[in-house]
Amino acid sequence: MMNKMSQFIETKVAPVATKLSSQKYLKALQSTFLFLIPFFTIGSFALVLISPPVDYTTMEPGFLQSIMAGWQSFADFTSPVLDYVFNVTMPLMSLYVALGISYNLCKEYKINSMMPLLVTMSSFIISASMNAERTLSFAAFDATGLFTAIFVGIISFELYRVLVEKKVGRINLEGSGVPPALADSIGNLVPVAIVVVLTAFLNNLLFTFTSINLPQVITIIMNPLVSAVDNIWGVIILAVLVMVFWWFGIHDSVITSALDPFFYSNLGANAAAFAAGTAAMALPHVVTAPFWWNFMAIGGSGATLGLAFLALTSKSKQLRTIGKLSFIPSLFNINEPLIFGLPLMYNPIMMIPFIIVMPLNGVITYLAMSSGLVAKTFAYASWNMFSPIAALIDTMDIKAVILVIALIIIDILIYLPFFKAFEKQKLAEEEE
Amino acid sequence: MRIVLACNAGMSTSILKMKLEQEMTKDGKEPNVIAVPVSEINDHLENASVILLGPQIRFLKNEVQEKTDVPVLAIDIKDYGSMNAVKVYKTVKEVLGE
Repeated sequence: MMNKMSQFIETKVAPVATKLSSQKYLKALQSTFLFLIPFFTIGSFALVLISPPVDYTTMEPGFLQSIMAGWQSFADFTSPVLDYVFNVTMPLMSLYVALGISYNLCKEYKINSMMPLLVTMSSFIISASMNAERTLSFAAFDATGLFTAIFVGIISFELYRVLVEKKVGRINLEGSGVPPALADSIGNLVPVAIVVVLTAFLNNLLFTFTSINLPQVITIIMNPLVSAVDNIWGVIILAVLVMVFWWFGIHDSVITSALDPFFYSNLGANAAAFAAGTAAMALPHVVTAPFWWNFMAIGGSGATLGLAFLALTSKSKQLRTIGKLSFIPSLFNINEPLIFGLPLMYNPIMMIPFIIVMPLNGVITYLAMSSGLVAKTFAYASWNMFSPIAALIDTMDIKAVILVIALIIIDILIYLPFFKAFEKQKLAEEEE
Repeated sequence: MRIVLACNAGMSTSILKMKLEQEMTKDGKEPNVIAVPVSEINDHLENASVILLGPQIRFLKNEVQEKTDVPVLAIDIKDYGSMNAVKVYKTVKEVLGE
């Protein structure tokens, strides 16, 4: 039965995973967000530092009040610098994503030229700016333009690439003694012109007939999907799907890389609302990158931090060895040693907790945040930050830390009976 | 000998990297191991002697193999889970015929 199942996975599911993972646009998107993580982290820290969680003038005099007053003067002093640091991170994310897609597709096609990056960037700027005055505008460079950046990024890159490949309007300078770099830039003057003019023309056409621009149109189209992800049922279905993949030992990126645009555009929208003065409890979105990676995947996918602790203190020598090996990485949300070493993969005893614990964390966190009990996330401490600390940075709410600690305890309690059964089996093996 | 390890973000393989480097040093070789995200693998194919994939991305083996002439292996699940660098190194040497 087990053999049949694993055979089914290797012959039927794995090829699908391969297809998705090697899908060039998905791959480019995944690499782009990998590059952007430091920007999200730096911007998050800047935003947190310039935003004291409590207004000290409304507080009772005392120790906490003096801390908050000190924080406020620190914020006043550093905000001339940190405002810029924040403003070039999340509020420009779509511009970076357009560039990143172009850059990563260049690598995919082995194109060694700066021109596609310039073409994609200008196409995105036109599409995101388009307004009644026909001026440049930064408004949709933030999270609101993210799907536009992906869409325009791919289309303009591909159009340019095909035009160059088909030598459309190629100005042949070879043999005339000009340096190769110049031949690449001037030689491709016509394709550049075609893409940029066409982009401006089409965006103008759209705006003239609908009086809204492409980011607004795409927002309307994407809205049902965004709501489907930012929803308790969406969280459950996606988390179960991810964990089923992991139970078969297949990395979640097959699913989560397609979720990245949703996670980050929701995070960006929250950060923008928070920077504009919205209270952290009242932010628009619950499901964001930090929601998933810092509140649900505590210890790694499957929320295995509690399990690593159980393994560390196990009576079985074999399980203890894995516990020792995996506990420290687990603090930083790396759990491959547990998944492959304990193992969790293909382990029928551990299947139930491994698949249900992370969705459960999602449900509890979703309810806590949507009911206003715990602040929503507006910053992102990065996926490999120890979860309780990450929760504090993500929300600046001490109740979020308590939530994460409670989740770790709940996770341990759910894993415990299954782990004990598995441990018994291992101990019996070791007796022999 | 240059061993290229790849997993999704190059994080879990970096644990194995340290252990493999110790094995190479013990073997009297210059330790030369890097751990990279698989999406960056194209940049690290040059000069690689062997490419090892974490089991969580084992299904990309053929895909990576198409890009290079050096052997591409998916690391054994048990060896990876226990971060057994001794066995992984032994396998590498066998494959390279050393």
